[in-house]
Amino acid sequence: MKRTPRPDLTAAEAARVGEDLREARLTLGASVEDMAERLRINRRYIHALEEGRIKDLPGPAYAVGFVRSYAAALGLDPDEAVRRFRDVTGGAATKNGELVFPEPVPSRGVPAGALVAVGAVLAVGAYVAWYNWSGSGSRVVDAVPPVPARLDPAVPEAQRPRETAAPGTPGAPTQAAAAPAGPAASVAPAAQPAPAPAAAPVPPGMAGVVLRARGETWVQVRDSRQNQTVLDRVLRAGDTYQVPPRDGMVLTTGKAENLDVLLDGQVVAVLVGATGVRRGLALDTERLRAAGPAAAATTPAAPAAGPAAAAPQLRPATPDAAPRPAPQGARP
Amino acid sequence: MFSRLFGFLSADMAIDLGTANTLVYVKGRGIVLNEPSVVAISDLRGRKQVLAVGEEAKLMLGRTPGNIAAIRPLRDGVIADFEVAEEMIKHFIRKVHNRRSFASPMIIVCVPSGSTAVERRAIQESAESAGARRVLLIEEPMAAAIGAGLPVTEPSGSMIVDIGGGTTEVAVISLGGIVYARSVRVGGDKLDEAIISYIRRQFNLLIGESTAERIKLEIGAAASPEDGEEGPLAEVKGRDLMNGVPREVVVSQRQVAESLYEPVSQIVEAVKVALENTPPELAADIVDKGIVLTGGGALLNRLDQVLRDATGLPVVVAEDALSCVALGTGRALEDIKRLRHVLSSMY
Repeated sequence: MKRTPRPDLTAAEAARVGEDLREARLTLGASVEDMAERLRINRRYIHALEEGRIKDLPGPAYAVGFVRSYAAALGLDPDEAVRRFRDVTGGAATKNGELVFPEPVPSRGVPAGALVAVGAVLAVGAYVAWYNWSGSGSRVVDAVPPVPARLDPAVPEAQRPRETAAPGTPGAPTQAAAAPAGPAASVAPAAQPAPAPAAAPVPPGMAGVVLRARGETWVQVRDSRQNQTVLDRVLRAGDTYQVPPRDGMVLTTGKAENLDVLLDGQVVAVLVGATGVRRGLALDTERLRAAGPAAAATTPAAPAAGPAAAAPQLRPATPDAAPRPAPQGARP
Repeated sequence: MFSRLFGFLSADMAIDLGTANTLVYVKGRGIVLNEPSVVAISDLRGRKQVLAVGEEAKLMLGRTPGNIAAIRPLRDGVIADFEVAEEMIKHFIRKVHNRRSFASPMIIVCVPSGSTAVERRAIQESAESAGARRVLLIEEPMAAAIGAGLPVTEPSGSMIVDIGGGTTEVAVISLGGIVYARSVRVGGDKLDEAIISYIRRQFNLLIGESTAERIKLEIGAAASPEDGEEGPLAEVKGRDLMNGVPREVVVSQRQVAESLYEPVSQIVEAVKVALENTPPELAADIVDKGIVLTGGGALLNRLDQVLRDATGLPVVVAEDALSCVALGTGRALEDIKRLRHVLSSMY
């Protein structure tokens, strides 16, 4: 069926098929008009058929039909005529014209598929950003339950060896601060409002609220007003972090015993004695001041350390090497 | 590549579920099966079993003993016997797939344009329960027009007359859709019936459907031969109604044409009504290009001439008239993306 005609011969061949039809008509002595009347085929098409102008015929299916009826009416073999006509026009073209159905014009603007793709990319991007920003750590820490109250006394007990390991080390301010045991912490808020901080000169760079680590501890500082995380990392021993002087800062830490909160260079008694996970501690200047300095709180618990503690407490204000050797040395 | 693999596992099919013949077109292979729509069912102690389908079953038609019934599950283009039709489709699917039992092809089936929703649903459901993965329906005149190669998608009217075994579909198609369709329940079967009743009346001879069909194919014509001739003759054997003895008579083409006058004029009437209901612009196109006949009925001698005289329009018989519908349905299967407009489903 799919014989492709040689292009140079097509027109001539078609004309030859037409010529045969014309001859047959003339032998019958009929005019084109007679045939048109008899077959009801438009005269135009009969002329086109006889002259081999395939393009002027209304379509392959109709053209073949016309050839068939015309040949039959002229007494020729219709199948033979159709076969020759097919050869000329190319078998494929007679049956399998392209069918292009009218499609609705797509509405202008971004196609729906693109919108969906862009939306998906945006959603994934937003999720990644949120994931990175809000931090995966919080989830891990949240999963650690705070130490139950009945175990509270046990924890400092466990830590005592480390604290007593280097009692004589001169550069061990950390121990001084951490020294108060569990019961001391409950006493701390009740202690008299700090008289010491007023006297203490504020070292440069230590104004405001500063976090200082005595050992490795994970710290997260959130700005609860704007609901964003300003700090979220693990502080190593001796690291300090200057909390931005804004209201609504909230501290969460994984190891409260390894962290000091300093207000204007002085350790505040908010974390003193606390262990394990502490959550939602407001780093509000007023509240910290009300809590009083750690030294005041510690005095009842460790009266002997009183004057000794006050002196080293000022020293860690310089966040350099000084405190470092202590925890390192203390770690067996 | 995956689609090819999938197609290999179960070849999708297009079925022209006709009253007289069922044609199956398999994707990528063309028409692979053309058999009469007849199923022979035997009744073995109350258990019904399919004995034969297609050609074999057709030979049994009208010649069966009491425990065998040769049934034509379709009447007037629609399913008359649901279970038997299902068995028949199942048989054809199995035959096409070489007994690969896990095949569940997608099937496109054509339905007469005049069929009701209930009839369409019956066809769809029987194809589904025969094991189809998915069933889509296509209107018969649209399938016929695509199969005949008419420019159905162009903004120009085409008129198609598909004369099948049970129905005659007349439709005007433009821009890929049916503008007007009319379906009359006159087709090859009615022609056979007309021959049977004519011979009974004229010769007091009772003949069977198969004999009537044979006469129609041999010497049937829509109009008498010119110049009052008798035309070709055919011998007809049957049972004499007067004395009950088998007898043979000879009928001429003129007599057959006379007997077919009634159903043929119904077809002509349907075409005329369709023309009356065609919008004027499309009517102008049809005057130019004419009417295309498809289906087995189109092969009836001089039917095109009768229609030409009645309508004054050029009438041509499509190439391969018998398989136009199957070819068009197959075309829809091959090109399902582009031709999805013409396919429908009852669900």
